[in-house]
Order: sequence, then C-alpha cells, then structure tokens
Amino acid sequence: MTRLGSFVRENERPGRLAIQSAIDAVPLPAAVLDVAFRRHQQEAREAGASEALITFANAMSTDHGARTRLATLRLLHRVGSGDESAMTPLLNKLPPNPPDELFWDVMSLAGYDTAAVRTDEETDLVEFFADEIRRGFSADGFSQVFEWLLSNGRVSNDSPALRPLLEQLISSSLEVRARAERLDPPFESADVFAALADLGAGSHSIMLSGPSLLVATRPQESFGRFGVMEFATLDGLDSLLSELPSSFRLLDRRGGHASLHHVPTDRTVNLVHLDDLGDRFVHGDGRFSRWYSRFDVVEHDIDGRRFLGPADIEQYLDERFGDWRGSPFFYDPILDAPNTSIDRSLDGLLFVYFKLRSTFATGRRHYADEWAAIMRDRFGIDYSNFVPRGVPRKVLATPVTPAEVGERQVHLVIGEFSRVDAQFVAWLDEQRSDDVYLVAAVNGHRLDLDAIERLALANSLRAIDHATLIESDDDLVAPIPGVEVTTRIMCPDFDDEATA
Amino acid sequence: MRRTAPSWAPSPFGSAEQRLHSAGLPKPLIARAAQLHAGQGTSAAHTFVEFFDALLGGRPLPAFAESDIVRLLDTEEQRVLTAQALKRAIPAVTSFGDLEIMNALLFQLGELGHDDAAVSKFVHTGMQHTLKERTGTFQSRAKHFNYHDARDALLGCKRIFDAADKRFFLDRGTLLGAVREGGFIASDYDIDVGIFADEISLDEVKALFVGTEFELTQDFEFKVGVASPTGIQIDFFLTTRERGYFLSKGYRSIHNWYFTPFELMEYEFLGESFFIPATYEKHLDENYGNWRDAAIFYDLSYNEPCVAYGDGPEAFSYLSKRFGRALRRGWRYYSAAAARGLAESFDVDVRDRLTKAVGPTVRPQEPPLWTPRPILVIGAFETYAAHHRRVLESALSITPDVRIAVVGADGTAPTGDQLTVARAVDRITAVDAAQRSEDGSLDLASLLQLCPRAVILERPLAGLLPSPHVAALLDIECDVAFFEQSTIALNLIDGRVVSR
Repeated sequence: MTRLGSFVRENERPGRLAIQSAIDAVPLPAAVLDVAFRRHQQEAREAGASEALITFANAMSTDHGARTRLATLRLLHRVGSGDESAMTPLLNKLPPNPPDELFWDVMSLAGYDTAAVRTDEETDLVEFFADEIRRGFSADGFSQVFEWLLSNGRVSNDSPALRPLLEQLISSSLEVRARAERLDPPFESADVFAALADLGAGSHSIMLSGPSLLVATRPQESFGRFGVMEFATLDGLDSLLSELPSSFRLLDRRGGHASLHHVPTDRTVNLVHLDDLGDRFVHGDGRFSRWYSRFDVVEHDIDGRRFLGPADIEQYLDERFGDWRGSPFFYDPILDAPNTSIDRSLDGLLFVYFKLRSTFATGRRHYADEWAAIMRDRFGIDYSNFVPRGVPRKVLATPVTPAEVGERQVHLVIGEFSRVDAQFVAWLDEQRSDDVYLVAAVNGHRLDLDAIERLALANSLRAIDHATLIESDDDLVAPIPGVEVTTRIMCPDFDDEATA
Repeated sequence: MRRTAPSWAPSPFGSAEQRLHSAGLPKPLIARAAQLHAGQGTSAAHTFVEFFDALLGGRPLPAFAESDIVRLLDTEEQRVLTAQALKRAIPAVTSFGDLEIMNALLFQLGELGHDDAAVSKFVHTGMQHTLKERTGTFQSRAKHFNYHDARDALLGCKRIFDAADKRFFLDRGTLLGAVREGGFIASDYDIDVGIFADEISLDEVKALFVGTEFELTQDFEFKVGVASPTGIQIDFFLTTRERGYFLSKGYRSIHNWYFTPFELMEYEFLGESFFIPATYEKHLDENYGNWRDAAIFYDLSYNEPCVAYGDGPEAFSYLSKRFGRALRRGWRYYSAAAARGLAESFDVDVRDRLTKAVGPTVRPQEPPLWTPRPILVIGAFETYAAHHRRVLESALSITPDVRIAVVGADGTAPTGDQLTVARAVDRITAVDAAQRSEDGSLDLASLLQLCPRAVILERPLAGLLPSPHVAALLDIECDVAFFEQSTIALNLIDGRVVSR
C-alpha cells in the first residue's frame, strides 16, 4: 500500500485498531472459541476460501485477538457466498501491502475470474476491479484494491476506468462532507417563525436578518454553517430587552448585539440593533461590525409566512454572506462575510490576537492566513511571514500549461536577448497585445552559463510571459510541450541595423 | 457556542455569594454578582462568579474571561477593585494563558487603546511565545536528529565524494538551514543534497558508498538514500538539467520540482566548504516562498511553489485522496489546496463547492496600517543587464515594493530611453527620474520621505550619495548598499540588506 494510502486508511477510521483491541480484550471461554473457530473455518472453506486465507484469518488471534479472528472467518464466508457488502470490511482486514497471493485469493473468493489476469501485465486491472474500487471509494473514501494496484504499478494512466473512479472518489467525499454539514443545524425555518412570533409580539419592530433570512427564504437548502438565528431591529436594544418576553432568556449582551435563548425551541437567537447612518446601516458588538446598504423594511410573504425584512433580500444576502448560493462548505461567519470589518479598538485587537494565537498554536492553516492578514492590515502588527506564501508565477520555472495560456495566441520571439536597450524594449512592446501570450525563445545551451543568464533576463521583462531555451532548430518545432505556437518572430538585431 | 444554564442555578444565589465572600471578594463585587443574577440572568451571573472564583482560588481562568468580564462591571469602584484583584493574583500565575487573560483585562480596565505600546508589547510577547512553542514541538520529535551526528554524516559523505572527485550540493531543507541559520532547521530530520544527472548517476552514488560506514537505505529512480552509523539519513536527489529549467522528481513523479537553472558555488558550512546553488536566494524563493522566517505551517505538496504534479495516475490519485481526507476531516485549507491542484492539473474542478472570497462592497475601505517598506534601486539603466536583474529580483524577494530611480548623465534628467529601459522590468512598483539636489547629489529629503527599507545604488553612482546622506538614511533604519557587474544577489544578514 502506498504510504499515503496506509496513512489515509488509519486516519479515515481513527482508533480502528484501538476499538478492535478493546473488543478483543473481553475474554471468551476457550471451549466456546474452539467450537466457533471450527465452525466458521468450515463455512469459510465451503464458501471457497483458500487455505492461505484461512491461515491468515487464524493468525489474527495472535495480533488482534480471538474476536477479530472470528470476524475475519465470517467475512470470508460472506464474501464467498456472494455478499458484496462484506468485501470492503474483508479487504480492510488485510495488512498494508498484502502479499500478492493473499490479494488474489480474496479477489477470487469475491468471484473475480483472476486466473488469466493475475499474470497478464496487459490487462487493465483498474477496469477489471472497477466495481470493487468504486465500492471502497463510496463507503470509505479509500480502496484497498486500488492501493494494491498503485503499489504494484498496475494502474495505467490510459485506463478508461481511472478517471471516472477518481471522480467518484471526489464526489463521494463531497457527499460525505455535505451530509456532515447537514447534521444538527443550529435552527430550522419553523424555529425562526416560532421565535419571531414570540419576539415580535411586543411593541418593537423585529425583522428577519442574517441566517434567519437565508433559511426563511430558502427552507429546502442547508445553511447550517452560516450561523444561528438572527433578528434585527432599528429600535434600541435596551428597551426591547427590558420587555423581553418570558419565553426568552438573556444570555449575553455586547454592544449592539444581544444573545438570547428561546426556550420553546431551545435555540440561540442573536438580536442586533441596526444603526442608521443615512446611507448605510451597521451593527456591531465592539469587536466587529457589519455594514449594509441602506434598505427599506417591507413585509414579505413567503408560502404564507409573513415577516419584515429588507426590500431587496438578495442584495442584503449578497452583502452579508458573499458566496452563499449553493451553500458552499466551510463558511466562516466573520471571515467570509464581505460586509464585516474588525473594529479598530482594543476589543477588536484582542479578539483578533486571541484568534491568531489560537490558530498558530493549533495549526489551523486557513484561519492563520486570514487572521494574520487582519492583524497586519487593521492593526499594523505583522506575523504573516510565518505562514508560507507563494511567489509570483514569473519567478517559477514550472512548465507553462495550456490553462495558463487560455485563449491567447502564442507568439514566439526568437533571439539572443543579449542586449536590452530602449529600441529592443519598444519593439517587444509592439509584439504585445491582450490576446497574445508572448514567449521569449532564447538561443543557447542549457549548460552555457551565459545562455542561462540571458534566459533569466528575458523572463524578467514585463513584455514577456514566459521564456524558454532554444538549443537547436528542432526545438523551434515544439518549444513548449503541449502548447501550440501560432507565430514565430525573429528578434531584429538593432546593432546591425545601426551600423548598416 | 450555546451557553446553557449553570449547574447551580436556579438554587438561590446565596450559595455563590457565600463562596465569594469566603474567598475574600470585596463586597461591591459580590453585590454586582447578585445584581447580575437578578437582572441579566443566570448566565451573566455565572460568568462573573466563575471568573472570580477561579481568580481568587488560583485556578485556571475560564476561556471567555478576556472578552466577557469587564463588560459586566458597571461602576468605577468595581473596575478599580477588579484591577486590584488581578494585580494581586498576577505574581502567582504559572500559566501563560492565564497571564494573558489577566493582562488583557487590565488593558480593558485601564481603557488602553489598540495602539498603546503596552498592548503592542503584549501581542508580540504572546506571538513569540506561540512561535517558540511551535518550533519547540518540532525539536522534540523523536526523529529529529542530533546536530553532531548530522554534521559527522554530512562531512562523511563529503569526504567520500571528494575522494572520487565528484560533487553534490546542499539542497532543500539542508540548504535552508545552512544559509538561514548556519545549522540544521528545527523541523529537519534528514539531510537533503542534490546531484546533477550529467555528472554522476544514482548507480554511481550507490557504488561510492559500497564498503563504507554508510548503509544504503533507499533506492528509487529519483533518489538514493544512505544512513550513517548513527542513523542519520542522507538523501541524494537526482537533478537533470533540462532545456530551460532544472528538474528533480519525487516518488513516482507525484511531485516534480522545477528550478531556474543555477551554477554552483562554494559555501562555508559546519567549518567546511560545501557546494550550494550560487543564486541560493532565488532557489529558496522557488522552493519555499517566504523562507527568511521559519514558517510554522508547511506542506510539501501545497507550500513549495516550484512543485508541479506529474501527470500519471499516482499524482491524480494522491490529490483525490488528499481532497477526500481533508473534506472528511473538515480541513478547510487542505480541501481548498487539493481542489485547486485537481482543477489546475487534472481538470477536475470542484471549487464551486468551497467558499470563495468575495470582495467587500459596503464596508468602509480603510488603508492598511502596515505596508512593506520599499527598496529603492538607483541606476542609469542605459541598458538592462544581468546585474540589474539579479539585484532587482533579489529585492523583490525581500519586499514586493521595489522601485527604480533612474539617474541621468552628468546631473541631467534621465532620457526617455533610460526610463523606457527601466520600465521594461516586470513587477516593479514605480519607475521615476531620481530626485537630485542642486549640487547633483541625490535629494535626501525625497529619500527620507519615501522611508525605504534599503537604497541600492549602482557602484559608479556612489558619489551621488555622500556620507551625510548615508548617515541620515541609516538613522531611519534604511540600509545602503551598492551593486556592480559582479553582484550576485541582495541578501538579508541580521535583518540588514546587503549585496554580495
């Protein structure tokens, strides 16, 4: 198994071995075990398990305990009897990089006709085992069969089954993530209207805002990451909180934000006070503020449910949430909200500082990048250098890809690039345009230090998108692998022209 | 986080009051706790009591303390008493985290601003503490090697190669440690060196170590590894000199490293002379990005700018698995990095499932409080030559803001041609005529106003910067350096920009 494969396997099911050991630690009477072992061994044999597999299963007692041995024998029986669902668990019992014989015996037991293919190097084994690989990817994000094939160099890049299988792995991972994010949402649409009914029953005008508005207008979608219920008011919070209905308990109050507990729904509700600045609304808690274009508050009716909210809900949601359509993964209610700024205050600084220190301490990379940038830009304290940064593309010697070129025409300018003066620069600029990808083809050999220097010089010019070395006329045919050149232009020799 | 009612509620407040009284909390603060219980609810009172309970009892402070406590105080007397209690407790504190919370609270009580020097110092102290902890973690890893063993191993290899009149060069983490720290970096656990394929093959490397104290431990098509008698692993990476770039492959070509061609030079390390890339600053820029500070987040696949994925099944599979694993574990950065790799290298684009950044539209746009100090390069730029390029690229690796000031001949303004040449260089922030004084020297006032990090002057123009000007620049912590035809690069030594 590849190193990443074995690492992934253990980490997809962390504690797998520990759980196994814990179960095996509970002793069973020896007499019971003997009977069970004999019976399950017989069943496995009858189902078609090879002696090598039986021996492997029996050896489980030593390393993993009696119960694991029993489980393995039962799995052999189930697989041999045609139970496809037992295949992945059986494969997962195999050690990393299982011996060839063991691997092929398992596949034979599962009904694959392995006799011909096991020694035939030409067979596309990815296609041959595609169903099994797909099952592993869907269930686990991992396929023991695929890892074995990779480790043994039996995966061909040309296999028509390869790409669909890996795409399957990717899409099943997306589904797993989506399921995880749908679990236990902070609230649902019904909760919003129940809380609104209680809160809005008083004399204050309460409107739906933030995640409440999102969920209320799109109840079929999952927006759990976007935060807890929120309502907004243009009235002051003090009077509203002094008249708080009994179905609510005040948990916390910070600046223009109050955090409440709605007892009937057992949900948390944020109540924010909108300050009217004339051209904008803003609300904040002393650490951060959220800004909105000024909007009219109107009554909406969605599927018979009426509520107050911004007249243009989509504009409000765009300003507040940015990329919310499609409910993308990993939304952060502060960092990903385009209308939110950290207050330049002591509270704001301490807020950012403790976030940054925590992310540095725990290694949460994305958040370290973001909080370090905020600390630098908002407060002038720079620790962003401790987070790896990339370099501009022109710095790199990595090959050009067709994606980088895009729709542009590739023009090759061929020359020595030994003298870059004003005339040459002006000429180069004339070769440029928005739909041209300009490549400098520098004459010279890779081991010639002068040629290497001229190559670097060419690449550092603003007019040049990429530079390559031309060692012979053959190189001009396909100077950049995978990229078609449409025009070849010889660089003029301005020195010759001057003396002519 | 939803706050739930504390376990001691709704029993009478009296029991908590008794506890606080016994702990010696002043009466005004006990009264405040009772007020909170009656007015704001059990949660606020619980927060208050829990904090003072822990403070006076010498126990770890609640994590929310730095953001919650001060807001709950409503008289000056309460604030003064709280500050006194904190100051009395500080000397006995052993936990860095608690010390931080107490300092943060004192800042809030003292109504310090975010730009107060004490607050700044507090932030820097905390960040340095965290950085040291993170670095210390690496050093405590079991597989981190002993300095003396590593030194002996490297010198042993050098001896063997010298005897055969062959050469290797320090590379990757070993090169980084050598030039940045004069030793081995904290996170390193093996030694990496490079060999040129056209000078020595991997088979020849293996043959060199036959019969020596070193044991062959790794034998791949892209590298061989040997281990010293003390267990230090040294890897010899094969580098091929291709047309226009140098290439070093990884395991099964999952990762391939592309470097700008370089020649080798001798470098003093561990008391001996080793070969390293002559343009090692650029080499490290390509390998690590911002390498001058010890980055505490590092991922070989995502954080080495010069790495490109191979186009074989291993690379596609590797990225697919990493993407799946990152999604399952909820790792935002690694999900996004893998998704980017899949899109750019394998045309599988799932980035629409991850949150995309959306630029701010409504919130106020304030200029950042921190901007990098520029480096000013001053020259005639009659032509753009290799030494200009080396200096400018070095400067760009130190700061993204590099500006060119062009000097005309004999005190005159630069010609249009000179400005054209200077403006031909990529990634330069600004190109202008150098400001001159009446006596022909560079205008000091404009230099001081720019407040550059460094002024780099072409050697023949040294007379334009007389000693008083240099002194004035040094006073504002602006380094002054000169460059000429033989200059290889700019370097940072003890934070000072120098040319070599």
